[in-house]
Amino acid sequence: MPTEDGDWPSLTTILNFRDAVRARLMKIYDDFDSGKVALTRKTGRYLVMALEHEGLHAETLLYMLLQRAGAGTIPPLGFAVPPWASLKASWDLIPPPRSATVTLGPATISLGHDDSEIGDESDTDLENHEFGWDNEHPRRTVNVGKFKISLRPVTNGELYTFYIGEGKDKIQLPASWIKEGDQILVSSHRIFSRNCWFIVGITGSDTLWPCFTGYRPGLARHRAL
Amino acid sequence: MSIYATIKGGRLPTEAELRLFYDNFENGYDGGANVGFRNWHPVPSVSYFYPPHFRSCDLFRATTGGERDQGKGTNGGVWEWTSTLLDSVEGYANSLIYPG
Repeated sequence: MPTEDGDWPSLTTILNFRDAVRARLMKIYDDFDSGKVALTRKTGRYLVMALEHEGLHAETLLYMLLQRAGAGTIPPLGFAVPPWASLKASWDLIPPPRSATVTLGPATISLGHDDSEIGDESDTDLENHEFGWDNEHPRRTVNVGKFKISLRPVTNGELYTFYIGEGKDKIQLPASWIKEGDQILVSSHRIFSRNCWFIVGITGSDTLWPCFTGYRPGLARHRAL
Repeated sequence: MSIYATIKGGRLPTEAELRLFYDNFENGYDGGANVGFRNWHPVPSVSYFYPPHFRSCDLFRATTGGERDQGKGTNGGVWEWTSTLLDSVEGYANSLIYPG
């Protein structure tokens, strides 16, 4: 990872690299069509991995943008500001679940799938194959006991009430919130808009959004407050 | 999030518990889930689309635990924590073409 700004590749270099990779990919697809190269489970895995990899990098870009919200970072060109007012109007009409929780189990469930990479050599059946990452293999059976679970994830509004109430001094500010003056804003709204009506705990349907936070962002009162 | 759950008298689910929950209550991308870069922001825990895919009926489509689709819905577009460590399972083999 470059530490000096001047050591980063230029935008042209990056775009040329992207174009070269895509041209190479398109050639592979052409070769499948012409019969020059066989589309096997192994070549399929490379292609799925390339696609998935690019998606993961886009996701990384998204969370980097969220983390830099309020620091002057602007959204990429071509991204329109979401129509917050009409979205809020529709979100406000969402009825709450009939009950807050549901009881499930006991049950036996299946996790993962059979997707051995070594099997690519012997099994050429591509049509019925499901690709994934190595840690999803193999399929395994797990017993789950009876348990009760919330139907909705914890929202910004719920965590804010907790943050200023019974959880005061026990949790730190979620990484997806930013403090500006006396207000706490939700970063994923902030990157799109300088208009600050999505203030945690005050107004806005972001109070209904699921809260992005760490597993245990606790006990750092001197850092957060 | 685990501190919140504990103080509220609960705990975070295990991976298997969360899987069982979503086997029952997730309606997927076609059902309006906020995945696959549908939005660059979270949404409330509900299914909906907006232009160019906008269909008014989708605004009221099932939230998780809502009245429609047997309570199926979406979590709003987040990865959820579980208490299960990401670890190799029996039979795990490191990918050879993507070592890291």
